[in-house]
Amino acid sequence: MHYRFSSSRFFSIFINLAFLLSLAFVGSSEVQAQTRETLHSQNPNHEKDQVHVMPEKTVDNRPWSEIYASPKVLSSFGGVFDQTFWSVSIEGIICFLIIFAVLAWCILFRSYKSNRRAAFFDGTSKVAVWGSIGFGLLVFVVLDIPLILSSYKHTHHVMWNYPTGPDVVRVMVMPQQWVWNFKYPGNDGQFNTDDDIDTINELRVPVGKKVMLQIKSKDVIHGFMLPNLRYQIDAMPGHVTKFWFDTTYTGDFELACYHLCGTSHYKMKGFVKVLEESDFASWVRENSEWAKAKFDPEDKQVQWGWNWGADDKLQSQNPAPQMQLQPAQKQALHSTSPKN
Amino acid sequence: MTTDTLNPSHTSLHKDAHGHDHHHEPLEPGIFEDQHIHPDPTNFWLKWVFSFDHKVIAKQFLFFGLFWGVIGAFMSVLIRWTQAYPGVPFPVLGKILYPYTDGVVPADAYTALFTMHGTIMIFFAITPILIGTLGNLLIPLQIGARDMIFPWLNMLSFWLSALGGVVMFISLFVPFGPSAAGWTMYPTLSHAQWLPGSGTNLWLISIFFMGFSSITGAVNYITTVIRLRAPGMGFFDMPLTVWGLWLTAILNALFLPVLAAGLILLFLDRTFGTNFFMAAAISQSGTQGDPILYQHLFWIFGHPEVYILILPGWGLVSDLLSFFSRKPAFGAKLTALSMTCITLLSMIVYGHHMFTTGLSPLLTTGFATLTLLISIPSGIFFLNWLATIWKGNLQLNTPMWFSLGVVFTFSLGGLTGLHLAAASSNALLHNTYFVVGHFHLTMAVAALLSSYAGVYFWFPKMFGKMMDETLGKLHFWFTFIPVVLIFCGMFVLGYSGMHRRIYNPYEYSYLKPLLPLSKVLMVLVFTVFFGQLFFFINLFKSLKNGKTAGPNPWNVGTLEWTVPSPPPHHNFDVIPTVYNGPHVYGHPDVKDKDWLGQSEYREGISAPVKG
Repeated sequence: MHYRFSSSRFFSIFINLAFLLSLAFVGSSEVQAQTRETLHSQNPNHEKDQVHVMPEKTVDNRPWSEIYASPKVLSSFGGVFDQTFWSVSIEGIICFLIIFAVLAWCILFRSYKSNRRAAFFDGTSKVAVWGSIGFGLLVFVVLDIPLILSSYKHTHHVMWNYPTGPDVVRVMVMPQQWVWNFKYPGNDGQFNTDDDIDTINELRVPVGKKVMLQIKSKDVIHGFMLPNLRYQIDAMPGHVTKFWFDTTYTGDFELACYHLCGTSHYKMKGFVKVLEESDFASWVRENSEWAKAKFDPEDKQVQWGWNWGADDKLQSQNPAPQMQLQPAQKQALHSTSPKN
Repeated sequence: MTTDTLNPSHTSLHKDAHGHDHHHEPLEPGIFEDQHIHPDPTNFWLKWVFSFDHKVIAKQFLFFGLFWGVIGAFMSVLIRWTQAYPGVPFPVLGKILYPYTDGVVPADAYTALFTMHGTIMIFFAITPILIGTLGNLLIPLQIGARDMIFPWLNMLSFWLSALGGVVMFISLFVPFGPSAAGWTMYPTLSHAQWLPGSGTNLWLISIFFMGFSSITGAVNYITTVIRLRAPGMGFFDMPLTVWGLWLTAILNALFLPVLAAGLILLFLDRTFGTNFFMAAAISQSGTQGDPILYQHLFWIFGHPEVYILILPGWGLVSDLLSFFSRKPAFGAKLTALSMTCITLLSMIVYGHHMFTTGLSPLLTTGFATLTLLISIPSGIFFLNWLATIWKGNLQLNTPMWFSLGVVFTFSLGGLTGLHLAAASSNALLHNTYFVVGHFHLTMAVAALLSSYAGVYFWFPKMFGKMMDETLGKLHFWFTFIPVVLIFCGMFVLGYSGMHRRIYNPYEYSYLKPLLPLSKVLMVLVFTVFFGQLFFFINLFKSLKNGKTAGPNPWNVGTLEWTVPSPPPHHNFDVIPTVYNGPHVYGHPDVKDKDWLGQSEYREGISAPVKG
């Protein structure tokens, strides 16, 4: 603790740090050239275009218990969530009320009196120590074990118990900024062929059937969320994540991206249309034929997809073409990158 | 510190305040070191700016944290305004901040706002106030040391923070705005391809400095607590505040390097075209990176980080509840051990942040189980808190109200943690406002309220003046009620399916009915924001002409209250010897007062010499 101020030591650190700082500016200098002003000259309203207006007043006659609650369960496994949520909530509310009651009691009846002394006990007696530890174990048994069991059941027996077989509707999902791309195998039941159905922002599924999704992001991390299903799954670049669900009634639902994916993240809305089985079958048949008629093998730009895997029945007979980017397309894909 | 002072001196025994000499056997080696008294610095720069004095560094951290806290809080007001009135110009300041959109917060600014709000509040407000200020002030004073063991490192810790602050401040004004990938800075969104501009680079550098600052501070705290405890002070004789700060320091020293590694790799990805986190589909070279790798690196640090932020608060509240109930802390040893247990558990539960990334079922259940195990030690110290105030004689002054507020808010936040720990109920709540409400109540509101408790409690020691009680209580109620309502409102939003980080939730028809609730939250946010004026008025008023505080205005027995307020440069004229634990209140054998100082020797109560 000697107070000799060694300025040279101190400032040499700062000089080194200043060097690092300048690196940061240089690192993205190329991109910085496009300043807000340049963008402004291209479209004088580009900021205002982003701004959203207040939603018009909608009259909602539902009772508040329905408004401030998760939307109606659509999937067969969604009930597990509601059950767990409410059992934990009730336990939590009871614990909270006990804590609150003790706090309130002490504040109301034990506030300071100069002629009173606090009771003297410090919890070092054997009874107190083992009582506390016993209390901890009680918490574990009452609160935690049911949750551990329910987590185990949910992951092992429900979410990771992927459906297989010819009845399962298979869909490839490739989100990108800020669009949902869906791909169906079409009439031949195989992905990456000429009759694949591609849709944008619209996932059609038949009611009652199990739907298997393989999800892989094109650019940044996105997330597949439909509150009615009571499950969400990330979309990663470079990884395929899997998710299955089923539906119990028909209707139109809004699909949300829940993972921050850029400025227009909030607009990345898709639709899930749950159709009657016959409607879905005819929709697949018609659109698959239409897709086959319009298919242009030269137009690589619109083709995307990956190997579905062992499930893809015709996979072994006719290996599906992988999406191969041409050098020019690679260039296009990276044209915004600072490196190119 | 010169090398000779690092040699443990086993023979240097000091007499206690009463002149008794109770040491008949040599002290445990290494527990006490000779500390010289140095003259006060007279030069202005050495005294107030580049100071080695832990008390001055604590004040520097305090004002640094308050400055950033105001900025971060203002950002939360802008965020809530946008949620409540999408497309409506922000009143008064909107036109200055966002002239291009006539005062409306645009979408790109919104993403930057919540990114910066999180970053600033975590690294620039709570960390400096709770760990920087209270850690620096209290560790030497409460363990009876003359300063930190490495004063130079301590000064470096503040100036690295200051540098980080400057870099972050610059980043708010660079072209393309500050970083906007969320405070977690997940690639690939944080790659230059999707987030151009130098804002993110500056963010990475700034957080690197802040991490460096925390590591230097942590090394100092850990070593000081181990080496410089006053003679007679065993680990369980330390106030629980020091326990909390010490455990926090251990987590900091272990896990901030992991974050630093992640930040460096991300910086290389952004600026030098490496591919650590870039997946194959978009990589520019043949190598394949993985964005999940970053999430692992981030959350290995990130989960301990939430305990880093709350452990000092837990310790401090455990102490204050005992002090102001005039009653021993119930099961203080068990509280300390529970905190240690949570510290250890916090290192192995991070996977619950990644439940939706497609972790295998084994990992998901495993992490869920480990996370739920935290409820055992948490349950124990909640029991201890409640048993501490039970049958007490509660002095309901400002620090006590804030401590009770921490118990209240942390119980709400902790219990909702159960929902998120279980994989089955996390399935919908992940990434919704439910999570936002949960982590704000635990590591933000509880940490904020405990910082305030600490500032109100130790302000007399720092500045020698008392703070105003009326303003303090007004400040408490104007903070406590709105924040609890805000984050409970967020539980409702989350349960209704509103996901986080959405600029305009009303794009989705099922979220439209939630608009009225958002408006209520906005009003509450304004209330709590302006409620902080009570604190700032109180702070500056008390600094200028507060009532003079004696050495021990609260009648509390820990070592810092045995020295004058503010303490002299070398803290203790004579290094005290510790005979009592920190929580001897209302002892039936002490008749003349209801407390006993740690260095006060009473026959029959105090241990002769504690190891």
